[in-house]
Amino acid sequence: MLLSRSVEAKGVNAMDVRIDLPQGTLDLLILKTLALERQHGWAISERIQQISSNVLQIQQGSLYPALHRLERRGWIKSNWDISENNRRAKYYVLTRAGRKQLEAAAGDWRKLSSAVAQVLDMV
Amino acid sequence: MLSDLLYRLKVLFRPNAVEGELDDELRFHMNCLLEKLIQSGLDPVEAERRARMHFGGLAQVKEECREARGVNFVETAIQDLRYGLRILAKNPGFTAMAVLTLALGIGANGAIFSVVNGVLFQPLPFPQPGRLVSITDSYPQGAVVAMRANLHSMEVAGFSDGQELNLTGFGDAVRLYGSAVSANLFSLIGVQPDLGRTFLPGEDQPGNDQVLVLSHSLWM
Repeated sequence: MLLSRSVEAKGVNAMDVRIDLPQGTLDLLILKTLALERQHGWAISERIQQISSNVLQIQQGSLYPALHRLERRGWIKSNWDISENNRRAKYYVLTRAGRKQLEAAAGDWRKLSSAVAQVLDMV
Repeated sequence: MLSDLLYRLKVLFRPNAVEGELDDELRFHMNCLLEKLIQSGLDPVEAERRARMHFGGLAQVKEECREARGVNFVETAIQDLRYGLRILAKNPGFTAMAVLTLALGIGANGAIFSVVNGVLFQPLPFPQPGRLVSITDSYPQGAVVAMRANLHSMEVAGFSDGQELNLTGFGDAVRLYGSAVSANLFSLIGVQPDLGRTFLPGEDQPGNDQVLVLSHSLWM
């Protein structure tokens, strides 16, 4: 699962640094984004990029396979609707199972990241 | 579970609909990206170039989506099957040979198995077949008596080699096949007659041995 982390310098893409996110992290980000409201794929990637202050830039090549995988697991559902710019777009909604999964995965993530932070901060 | 099943069925039976949706979904994303780039001040040609670059290999994205749906395995298997059938249809000679080989192989196996199954695998049709031992050798009749007297760990019954007999008095004479046995044979193997009785003790002694048990097929 690749996310690209881009560093903007003077309006030019100075460099793209690709970092590997831990397994399942992209799923977690998508579920969290959908927990707020239903979204189409484009809005999900824009929202994550905005909220993370442009640090997390999800490639389509990662986003759409992840969405299909999550739908297959029954954590999200999709339906077609007219978008804010008057086009047909595929909207994704969190299911009840998805909400449970989000809670569990978010808890795991917080535990893991605080534990890793503690280890890194030791002197 | 159910949603997974419905999703997979949809992918399997309406693959074009699902593929079309995927196309539409990715095109929508592409258009949004294009608009964003144009709004940021790029001219349309440059924006299009940038968007395509950003989007990466479209075919690869689609392939990964298919894999994420988890039905690639089935799709691939069906494709392979179709390919195999096409190739077979193109080479009727080869197909006939292959089918014939398979038919003969399967047929021979089936025939051999049904024989081996009856002879080796199916237990004898007696109670406690595992406790029966057959010693096939030629002994004088007295040997059975001697064995019975001396062997206390097992019951002993004797039977002679089969011999041909003639049955007369009911129309045409019939050639039968029978064998002399010791009186305890039936009780030893634990078999009851459908009609009448089997031999009583002592009915294998000379002068007392005018009795016989008919087979089911002869009786019918």
